[in-house]
Amino acid sequence: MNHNAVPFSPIALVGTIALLGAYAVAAWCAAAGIAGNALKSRRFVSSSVYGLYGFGALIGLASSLMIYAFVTHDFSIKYVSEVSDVTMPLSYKVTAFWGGLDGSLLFWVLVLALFSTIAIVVNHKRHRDMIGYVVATIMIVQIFFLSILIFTKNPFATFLTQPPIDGKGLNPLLQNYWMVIHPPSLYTGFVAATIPFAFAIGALASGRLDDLWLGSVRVWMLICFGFLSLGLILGGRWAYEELGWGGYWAWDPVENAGFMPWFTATAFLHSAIIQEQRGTMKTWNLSLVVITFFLTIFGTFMTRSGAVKSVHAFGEDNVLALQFIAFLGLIACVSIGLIVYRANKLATKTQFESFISREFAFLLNNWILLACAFFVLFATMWPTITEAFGSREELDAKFFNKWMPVLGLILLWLAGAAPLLAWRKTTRERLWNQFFWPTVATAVVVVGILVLFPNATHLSPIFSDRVRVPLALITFGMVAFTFGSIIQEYVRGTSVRMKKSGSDPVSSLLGMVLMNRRKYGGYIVHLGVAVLFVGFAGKAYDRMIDRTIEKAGVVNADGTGTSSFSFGDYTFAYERFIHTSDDHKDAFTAQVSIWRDGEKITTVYPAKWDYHKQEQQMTTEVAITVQPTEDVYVVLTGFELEQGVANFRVYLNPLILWVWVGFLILGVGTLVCLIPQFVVDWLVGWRPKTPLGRAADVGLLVAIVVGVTLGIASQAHAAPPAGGEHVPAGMGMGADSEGWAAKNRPENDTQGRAMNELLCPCGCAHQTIADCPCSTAAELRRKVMDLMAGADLSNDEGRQRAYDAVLAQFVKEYGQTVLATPKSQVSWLLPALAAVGGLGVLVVLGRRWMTHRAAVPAAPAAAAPQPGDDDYADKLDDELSRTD
Amino acid sequence: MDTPPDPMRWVRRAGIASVLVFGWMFVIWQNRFHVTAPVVFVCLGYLAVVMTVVNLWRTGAMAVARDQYGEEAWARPLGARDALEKEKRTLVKAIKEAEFDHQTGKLSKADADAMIQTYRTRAIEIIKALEPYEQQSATTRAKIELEVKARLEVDGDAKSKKKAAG
Amino acid sequence: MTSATIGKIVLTCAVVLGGAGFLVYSAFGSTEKYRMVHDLVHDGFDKWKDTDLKVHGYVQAGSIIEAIEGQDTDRTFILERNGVRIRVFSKGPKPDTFKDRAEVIATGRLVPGADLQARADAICKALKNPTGCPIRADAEQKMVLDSTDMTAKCPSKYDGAPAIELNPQYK
Repeated sequence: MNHNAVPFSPIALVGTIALLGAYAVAAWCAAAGIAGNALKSRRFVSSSVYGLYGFGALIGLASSLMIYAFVTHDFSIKYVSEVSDVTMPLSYKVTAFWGGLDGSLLFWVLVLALFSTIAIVVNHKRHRDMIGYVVATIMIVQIFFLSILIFTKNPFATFLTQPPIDGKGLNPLLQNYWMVIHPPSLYTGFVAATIPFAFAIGALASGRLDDLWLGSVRVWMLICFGFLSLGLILGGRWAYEELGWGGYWAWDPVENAGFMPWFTATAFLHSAIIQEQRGTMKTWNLSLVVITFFLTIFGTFMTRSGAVKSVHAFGEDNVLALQFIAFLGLIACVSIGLIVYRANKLATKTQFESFISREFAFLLNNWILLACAFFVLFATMWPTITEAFGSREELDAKFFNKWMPVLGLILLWLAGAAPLLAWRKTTRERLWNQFFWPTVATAVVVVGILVLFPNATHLSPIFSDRVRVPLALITFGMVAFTFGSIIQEYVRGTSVRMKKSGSDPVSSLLGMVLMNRRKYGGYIVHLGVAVLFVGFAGKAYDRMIDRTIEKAGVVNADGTGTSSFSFGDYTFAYERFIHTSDDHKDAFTAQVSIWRDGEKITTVYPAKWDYHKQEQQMTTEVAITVQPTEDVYVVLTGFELEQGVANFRVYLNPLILWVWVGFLILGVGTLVCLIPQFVVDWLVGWRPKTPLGRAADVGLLVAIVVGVTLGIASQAHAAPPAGGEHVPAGMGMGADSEGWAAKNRPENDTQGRAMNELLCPCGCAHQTIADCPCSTAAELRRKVMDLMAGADLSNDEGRQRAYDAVLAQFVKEYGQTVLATPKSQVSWLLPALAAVGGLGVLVVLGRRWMTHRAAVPAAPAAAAPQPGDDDYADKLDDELSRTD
Repeated sequence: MDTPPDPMRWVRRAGIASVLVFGWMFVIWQNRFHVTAPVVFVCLGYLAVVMTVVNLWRTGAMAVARDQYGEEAWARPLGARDALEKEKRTLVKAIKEAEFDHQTGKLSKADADAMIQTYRTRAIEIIKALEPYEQQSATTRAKIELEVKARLEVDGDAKSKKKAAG
Repeated sequence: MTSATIGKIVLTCAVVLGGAGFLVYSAFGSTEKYRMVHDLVHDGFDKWKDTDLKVHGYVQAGSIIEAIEGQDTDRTFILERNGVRIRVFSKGPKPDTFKDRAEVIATGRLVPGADLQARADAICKALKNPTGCPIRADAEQKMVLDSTDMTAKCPSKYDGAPAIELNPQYK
C-alpha cells in the first residue's frame, strides 16, 4: 500500500467509514429496540434485530481491514506502525490487532458483536417480549466503546505527515505464545458478561421476571466464567515463564481486574441454581449479573485509564477516564433504578428452612465470593484511595496473601461440604453418614503428611503478621475433604442409578453425568479447584537463592567445582556463556547443568535477550525444569560479558505443576456443564443395533480413553515450552547481525528440504533454519551443506538417504526438538484432543447407557393419592417417569 | 421473527451466495490464485460487506414494512404458560432430587416423603392450571381423544371446568 | 418485623462492618510506604523505623561499590534526591538498567549505619581494586537502607505510558 508516498490510506478511510456506519446503526438499533418492545411493535423489534446482525457485519469489515493493514504493512496508519514492524512473524502481525489499546477496543466490540449475534439468533423467538430491550442494552454498550474508538482512540487514525518506513514493533514482553492468547481470552470473558447483563435489563424493563430468562443467562455466565478462568490462568502462565520472578500470580491490578468478575460470576452460577430450585433470590441474582458486568467495565477502566499503575496498564488518560466514569454511572443508575422500580415483582416469600441445607451452603458461598471480590477491589484500589487522602501507599502481594487464602479455604471447604447437603434441609441424623468418609480422608491425609514430612507444619501469617497457622497443611486437609466428598457423591449416585437401571457402573456413571450435566460437571469443576489448591499450597514451601559465579566451566565429573553451587537436592554447574545475535536481538545465554545425587538430570539455558528496537528492555528467558513434585526455575539475573561472570537466581517451586493440571480439570468440568441438551437428545435417538456396531463402539472407546490419558499425561509433561528450549546446546556464536538470512542458501533441493525440516533455535516462533534470519541459522545451514557434501544426490534413493542422514545427525546432536514436525508439535494439540476425547467417551458410553435404560422400565414415583385429583396425579407420575 | 416462511427465500439466499462466491472468485483471480494472508482478509472483508448490505436492507425493510403478519398476535403477552411449564419442570426435578437425596442417604424416608408431598401438591395444581392451554394447542387426534374421554365421563364437574376455562 | 429478623440484620451488619473495619485497619498496618529520599530525612528517621519502605531516588554517580564474596554479590551505593542522600546496601540481583544516575526504587528497612559497618568493610575487603574504600556507612545519615529489592524506573515505549516498572522480576 502507500509505504512512503502521500499519507493516504484507503484502508483507513473505509475502516473509519465502517466504524461511523456501525455507530449510526447501533444508535438506530437501540432506539428501535426500546420503541419496539415499549410500543409492542413487531416491526421495530425485528428491525433492531436485523440491525444488530448488520452491526456485526460492519464491525467484521472494520476488523478485517485492520488485520489487512497489519499483514500488508500499512504504516501510514498510526496504530499499525506503533505495534508492528515488517520483520514480525505473520502470527504476531495478526495478533498485534489486539496488542495495543486502540485495537483491543475494536477487538472488544468485535467479540461483543459476535456473541450478541449468537445470543440473539438463539433467543429472539423465545424472548420476543424483551428482545428489543436486550438488543438496545447491547447496543448502548457498543455505542460506548465505539464512541471511544471513533472520537478518542481511532485505530484507523493516519499520520498527517510522512509515515515511517517501518513500525516500532510489539513490546518483546508481549511477543510470547501465552500473551497472544491471554488478553483475548480475558476480554472474551469480560464481553460474555455483557449478554447476561443485557438479558437482566431486558427482563427488568419488560417486567418478565419469572425464571425464563435465567436459563438463557446461565449459559452465558458459564461461558464468561470459562473464559475468565482461561484468561487468568494463561496470564499466570505468561508471568511464570516470561517475567522471571518465580511465581505466577502477584496480585497485579490487571489480573485482579479479571479476578473480580470471576468471583461474582461464580457466585451467580451458584445462586441461579437456588432460584431455579426454590424460586427465591431474584433480586440477588439480578444484582449479581449487574455487578459482574459493572466489574468488567470497572476493571477495564481501572487498568486502561491508569487509575492504578501496573506492569501492563495502558497509561494515563484523563478523557478516557471521564468517559468510563460517566458510563459506569449510567450502568449503576439504570440498573439500580430498574431493580427498585420492579421491587414488588421481585419480592419472593419463600424462606430458608434450615441451616444445614444446600441453599444455605450456596448462600454462604455467595457471601464469601462477594467478600473476595470486595477485598480484591479494595486492596487493588488502596493506592488510589490513599492517594486521594494524601500520600500514595502500596499494598503488596504479601497483604493479599494474608487474606485470600483464608477466604479461599472456606470456599474450598464449601465446595466439598455443599454437595453433601440436601435441598431445603438435610436430615440431621444422616449428617454423620454423609460427612464420615470425607472427614476420614482429611484425617488420613493430614496425619500422613505429618508422619512423612514432619517439617510440613510451616506457619503462614493470616490477617496480620501476628496470627500464624499451618496454612499449607490445612489446605491439604481441605483438598482431601473435597476429594472425599465429591468421590463419595459420584460413587453413591452411581450405585443408586445402577440399582434403578440395572446397568453396569460405567454406563450408570455416564448416564448420571449426562442427565445432570450441570451438577456433575460442577463437581468436576470443584475437583479442579481442589487440585489448583494443591498447587497453591506448594507456594508455602518454595525456596529461592541468589548466586554469583565468576568463571564458567570449572566443573568436575560429578557436577561439583568452583563453577557450581548446591541448592536443595540439586547441584547447578555453570558450564559456559554463549552470546548469539540475530536481526532482532542479542541473546546472552548461560549453559547450566542440573545434577542430583551425582547424576546429571538436564541441561538448561537461562538467558537474557536484548532487543535492538527496545533498547532499554532486556527480557529474561527463564529455564524451567518441570517435575510433578517441584519445578526447578533458573533465571539469569545478570552477567558480565568480558569475564563471563553470571548471576543466577534459582527457585524451587514445589507442586506448581498442579496449578495447570487443576485448571485443565476445571476446564473439562465447565465443558461438561456446557454440553447442550440437543446433543443428549440426539444421543437418545441414536443406538447401535448390531454386534458389529457395539464392537466398533468398544474399539472407539478404548482408543479414546488411551488418547485422553496420553493427552493429559503429555500435557502435564510437555505443557511448558520451557525457556531453555529457545537456545539448544552448542549453538554457534556470532557478533554481527547483518543479512544472515542471505548466507549459506541451499544449493540444491535436498539441502533445501532438510533445512525446511530443521527448526531454528532463535526466537520462539517456530521458524525453520531455511527462513530464520539469525546468525545461528546461517551456521546450521552451513552444517547441513557440509554434511551433505560427500553424498550422492544423483538419484531419489541417494537424495533420501542424504536427507535422512542429515536429520539423524541433527537429532543425535540436539534432540527431537530440532525437527519442524516432531512429537513435541503434536503435544500442542493434545489438550484439545483430550477435551474432544473426553466428550467422545461421554458420547459412546452415553449411547450404551441409553440402550440399557430403554430395557428397564422406570421406577414408579412415590404414590401420593389426592382425593379427586387422581387424573392429575397420574399425569404427574407419567411426567416423573419420563424425566431423568 | 416468527415470519411466515417467505416463498422466495431460497431464491434470495441463492442470490446472496452467488454474489459472495462471484466476489471471492474475482478477488482470488485478481491475485492470480495465490491465497496469501492479505487475500484471506480481503475475502473476509468482502463477506462482511455483503452481510452488511443484506442485513441493513432487512433492517430498513422491516422498519417500514406494512403490518401483514398479525402484529396483534405477536404483541400478546407470552409467559403465563411458559412460566407454568417451567415451574412444573422445576417441581418434577425437585421431586426426583428429593428421591435421589433419600437414596444417597442425605434425607430420611420421613423427611423425603414430606418434601415430596409438598412438591406433588403444587405440581398437581400447576397441571390443572395448564390444562386449558394444552387443549388450545393440542393436535386434532388429541382433541378427539379428550372429547371422547369427556363424553365418557359421567361426572359433570370436569365439563363445567372446561367451560369455565374455554 | 420480628425481633429475630432485626437480630439477623444487626448480626449481618456487625459482621460486614467488623470485617471491613478490620480490613482497613490491617491495610494501614501493612502498606509499604512509598517515599522520596528527602522525605525520610525531612520527617526524621524515627517515624519510619521498622516499616517496609519504598525509597525513590537516583543513584549518585560513582557511588556504586560492588563485590563478590564467595558466590554472593553484595553492593552499596548512595541514593540521592534533591540534594539529600542516603546509603543503601543491597544483595543479589540488580535491575538491568542499574547504573550511575539511574532512577531506582529500593525496598527495604532503615537500620542504624553503625550496624552495617561490618558489611561495608567486608565489601571493601573482597574488592581487588578498592576505590572508594574504606566506606563509612553513616557518613551521609545516621540511618542506612537495608534493601531487599530494587526496581529501576525507565521510560516505556509501550503506548505512550510515561513510566512503568519494567523489571517485575525484582518485585
